[in-house]
Amino acid sequence: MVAVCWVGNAAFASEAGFASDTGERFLEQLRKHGHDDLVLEYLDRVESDPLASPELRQRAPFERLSALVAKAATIPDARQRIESLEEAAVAIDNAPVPPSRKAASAVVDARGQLALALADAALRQALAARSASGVPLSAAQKSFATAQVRLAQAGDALDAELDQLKGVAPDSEAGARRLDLRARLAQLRVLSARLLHEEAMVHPAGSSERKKLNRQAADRLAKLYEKYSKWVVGLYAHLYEGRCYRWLDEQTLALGCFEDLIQQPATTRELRTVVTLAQAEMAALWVEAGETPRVLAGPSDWLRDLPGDESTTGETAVLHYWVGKAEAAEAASDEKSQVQRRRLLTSARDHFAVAGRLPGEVQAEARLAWSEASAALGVDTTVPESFDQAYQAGKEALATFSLTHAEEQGKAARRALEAALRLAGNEAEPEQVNESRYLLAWLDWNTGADRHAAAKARYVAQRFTDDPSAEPSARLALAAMERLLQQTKETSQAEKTRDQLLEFAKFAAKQWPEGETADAAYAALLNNALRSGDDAEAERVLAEVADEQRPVLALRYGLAKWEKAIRDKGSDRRKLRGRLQEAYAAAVDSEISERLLSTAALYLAQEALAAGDASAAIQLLDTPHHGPAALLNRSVNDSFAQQTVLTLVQATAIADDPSRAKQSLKQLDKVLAALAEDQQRRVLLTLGSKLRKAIDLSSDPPASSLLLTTGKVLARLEKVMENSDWNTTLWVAQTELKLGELGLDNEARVRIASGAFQTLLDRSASEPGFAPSTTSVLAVRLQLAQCDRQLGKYREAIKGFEHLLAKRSAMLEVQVAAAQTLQEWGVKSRSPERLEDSIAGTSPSKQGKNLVWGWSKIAAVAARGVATHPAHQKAFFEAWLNVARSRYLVGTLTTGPRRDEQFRKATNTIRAMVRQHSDLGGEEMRAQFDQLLREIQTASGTQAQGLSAFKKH
Amino acid sequence: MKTLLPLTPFCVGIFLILFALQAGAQDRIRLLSGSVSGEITQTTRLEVTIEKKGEETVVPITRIRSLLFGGEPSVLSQARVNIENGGYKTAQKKLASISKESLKKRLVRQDVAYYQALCLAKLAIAGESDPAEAGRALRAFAREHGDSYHYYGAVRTMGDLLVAIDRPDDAIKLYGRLTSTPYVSMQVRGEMLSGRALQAAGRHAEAIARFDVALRLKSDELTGDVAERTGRQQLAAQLGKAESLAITGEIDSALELTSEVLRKCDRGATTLLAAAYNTRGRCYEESGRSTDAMLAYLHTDLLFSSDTATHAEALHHLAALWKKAGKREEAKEANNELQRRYGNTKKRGP
Repeated sequence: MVAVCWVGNAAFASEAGFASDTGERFLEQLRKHGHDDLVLEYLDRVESDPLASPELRQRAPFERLSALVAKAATIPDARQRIESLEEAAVAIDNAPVPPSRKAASAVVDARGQLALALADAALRQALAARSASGVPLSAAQKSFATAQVRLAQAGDALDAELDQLKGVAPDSEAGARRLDLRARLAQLRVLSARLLHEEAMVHPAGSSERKKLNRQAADRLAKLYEKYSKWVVGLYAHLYEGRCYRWLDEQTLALGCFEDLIQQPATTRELRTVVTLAQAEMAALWVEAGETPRVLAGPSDWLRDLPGDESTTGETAVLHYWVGKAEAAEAASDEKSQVQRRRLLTSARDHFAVAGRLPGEVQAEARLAWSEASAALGVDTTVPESFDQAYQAGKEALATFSLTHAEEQGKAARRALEAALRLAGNEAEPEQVNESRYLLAWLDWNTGADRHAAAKARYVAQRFTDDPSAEPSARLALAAMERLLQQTKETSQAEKTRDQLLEFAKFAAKQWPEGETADAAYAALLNNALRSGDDAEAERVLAEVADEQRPVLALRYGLAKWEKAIRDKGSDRRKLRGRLQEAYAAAVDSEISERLLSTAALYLAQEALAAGDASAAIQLLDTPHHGPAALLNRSVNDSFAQQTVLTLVQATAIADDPSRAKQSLKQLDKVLAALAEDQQRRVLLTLGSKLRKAIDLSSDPPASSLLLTTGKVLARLEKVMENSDWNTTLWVAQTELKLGELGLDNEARVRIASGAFQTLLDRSASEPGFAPSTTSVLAVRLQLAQCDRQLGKYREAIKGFEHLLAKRSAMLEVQVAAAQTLQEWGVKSRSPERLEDSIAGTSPSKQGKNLVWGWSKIAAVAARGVATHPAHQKAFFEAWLNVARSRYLVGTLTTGPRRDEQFRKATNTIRAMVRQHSDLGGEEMRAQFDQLLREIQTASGTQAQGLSAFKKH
Repeated sequence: MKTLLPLTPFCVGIFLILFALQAGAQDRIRLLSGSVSGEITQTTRLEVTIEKKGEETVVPITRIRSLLFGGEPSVLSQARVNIENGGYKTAQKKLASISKESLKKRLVRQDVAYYQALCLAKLAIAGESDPAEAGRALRAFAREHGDSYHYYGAVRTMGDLLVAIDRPDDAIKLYGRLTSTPYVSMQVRGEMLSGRALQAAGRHAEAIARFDVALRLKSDELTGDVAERTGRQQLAAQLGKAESLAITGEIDSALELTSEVLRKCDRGATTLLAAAYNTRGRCYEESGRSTDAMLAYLHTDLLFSSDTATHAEALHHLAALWKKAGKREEAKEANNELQRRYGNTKKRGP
């Protein structure tokens, strides 16, 4: 049995004692009748119920929490269910402080319910993982971990409330609550221990992890049995303790547990259920041990003696299965006569049939066992004799097919349903006949036979419009024709299908003018218009639809056009954006799919961001109810979530919202966790380049959040950089350098960049074709040398420059960088010689010429191109300024006459420049000359007059 | 004194036994609260006179729930209970089993005739018997028993029958007879029923005017249980007005009126509470708010289901709303319950 059930009388619903007004009673009745979705709706509207008490109105937000969990727990799709439960968990965790005791109790109840629901989800995932239906082991383990955390939290909450209820009178309302809480606490504890066992079972048989977890579970369950042996929940602890022993191969201990339970006086249904489960475990043990006769005595007798209504429950299904297995095994014995074999197999088949009909952990096995037993008995299940028989067989096979995806079951369902249609006479229920047609169409659809599916479904929808199967058939027909149209290559056939689809969509929209079918029909019409680029037709469809359906279709249309504009880089983006905005504004208040609204909000947010309005983007992302940011809590595993996170990270960084930016990065991590490494790299690179673009476009210094976020994105990218291509590595290195230049962890960033440049050089040396060109390598080498310079690794830097200059000495930019490096090196190492080198050059080549020219030669070379190259003009003045600067710096490092001489030379250089080029290359450069001269004058002990000193003389 | 004291309990016991024996042979008027025993000496359309120990008491019909006649056949008493619970077919069978020759008292014969006509009419309204035959029976009763205290009951039922066969104007004429009585409580009922008749014919402006008249009627004479009953009629008129307002698009005003009714309503007045929630359901349906409508009808279904008509109405609407919401199981269940419990009840509303 998989589903988690509360035993005893404990249930996480409001107590009857609380229902003191009409609103309370109504709420209680809604819950009692299983209208969990309406509980939420009612609580949202409680303000408008004239008979709801103020106390209930105040408590409604807290009552909502349980309702959220209850609603989520009923969602059939596992992924959606877990997402909704996670959403409920967030709501519970973020609940404000309850204003009253009852409100606090509501939160406690919600926590309990959540823990149960998550435990149930974990058990289902474990079952799926064990049955190899695609659920990975890691997912099941994660679910167990989540469930355990929630069980612990719920336990703490119950404990806390119990503490407050110490000493209350047992017959008071508070006393009843206390008793209830104690029962729930016991159940949570047992469930927590049971989960350990179920987690053990997802590990491979014989693995140490399975043994370890089973042992832990057994120990905990044994203690819980001791503590709660007088309660039904204690008996369950003993049952699962026995199961643990069974899987630990400690059969004596296991049998001991099951026998304890079987000896219990089973006077109530509740107790009989425990005994039934124990009998099933015992039967399983004996079947596995080959002691089948014992099953046919004990468990089989118990099953036979159960009251009628208890013999077909989920719990008894397991016992039926094992009794069937025992009988089938007995039938295979050589000692049995033909008659005995047949009798045993027939009985086994009956047991399998019961187990196969009931949902549970053995359902799939039971169905297969039933097929085998049928085959062994020579029962031809494929030739039903009446419509009813065929219809039932078809539905059962279809149910098995949807559980097991066994192809044979799909074929069996088809055979049976086809037979049903053949056998359908006047006495057959028309609804069942049409359902058979619909199910056959579904089988066609499922196997990709869209043309057949469409034909059958159209027939039901058009011929039997009032039949319950007509509307689902219409939707199926639309879907099948849509898919067919997409796949049909041949033009005339495609045209025919399109005409059929259009005609049928018009019929369906008219026949079922509201709800899902109309949506699908109009969507088909609209898709057709979009496919054929027929805007007029699209407009006509939009004009034709009912007012309440228009917003959704207009939005769908707006989105499709917008996506096309993005894809085609269309020129009419502005107009289409306006249209999308309009459709979005019109749809916001309509009851339409929040996914559509979210998608529109996301696109508009991205557009706002592109236009530089980060606040507007955040506002759109945060829109209540359907804002893409809100939906992130449900899923992080699709491209929508990725796009949302990317947009959110950018918007919050640009808007300079540090806490939101930090939170967005956490969400980014969740998205990344679900991706493969190369996908992570792509996502991070896209995000990084957008952030870099925002930095580059900033007119003012970029926002600190933008720099920090970019840095953090780069850090994440660097973790997945192994084997990345040239451009990616280069981009990362350059962006790191840029961040460093902008003051973000300068040295660390330069160091990272340097490492990346080095990697590029290393790989270009070892991997032919890695670098796009020789020039690219030279450019990287230059940047590496500049990094070395910034890091104070002057020797390496100079070596790098030499390497470049050896290949081409006339690279003025490299010469300038090399001279600057020598100058800095001289200052840092207090070396007059290096400062001199910065003027005169160094590193003589084999021909005796210096590879590194120094400022003097730079000035001379630049002088030749001053007239033609503006860059040379700058280099010319910069070189002379640095000649003077280096001389001054040498002076500062020496004493006596040499010092004076250097100051004089420096001054003379400046004077000569002033004489020959009175503007000194412009204001900026002139200011630098002036500043340098003042420093020289001060150091020489004269008045710091700057360039004005030359005018006087 | 010493001898008397121990005897007191014995004396009281004898008295009670004698009283009970006498009560078995006496007539009794079941009032809205309590009852009066004695001999019914006279009935008119408006009053019943009962005499006890030479003292006559005149009881207005507005205070009377029913009359029980000393020596009446027990099946007649049972039929009355069946009628009160909506079991008209059962009551019809029981009444048919009474031999008219065995009925000595004229008033008892009158009672049987009235209840027979009433059952026919109620079944006709539910679509289960011939309205013409029912009409004839009621007219014959009114003609032959003009002094019966059931007279106005018969008139009102004739009006109901006419509404059921789409003759609202004729019905209003009959309800007019109620408004002509000196009793404010009957006037309120007459106006309220006229409003309902007009509403059923889609004449909402006129209906609202009638409901307003019913709401304005006041009398200082109204006290105790009569005042309470009249108050309920006025609340019913208020609900009628709300429904017409909703149909004519004034949803907010309509909802406000229903809220007021719910706030004023006594917690035990389940029929009225159910009617109020049903009216809210109608309001929400008119404004396309299906979920709100569903919640309103569910109040009736889950909390106030003791009244046949309102519960049937709620189930009828719920079945349609569940279906619309794609909840086929729930829709089926509501339809099944409707058929199982109220197969004979005509559902109100569209």
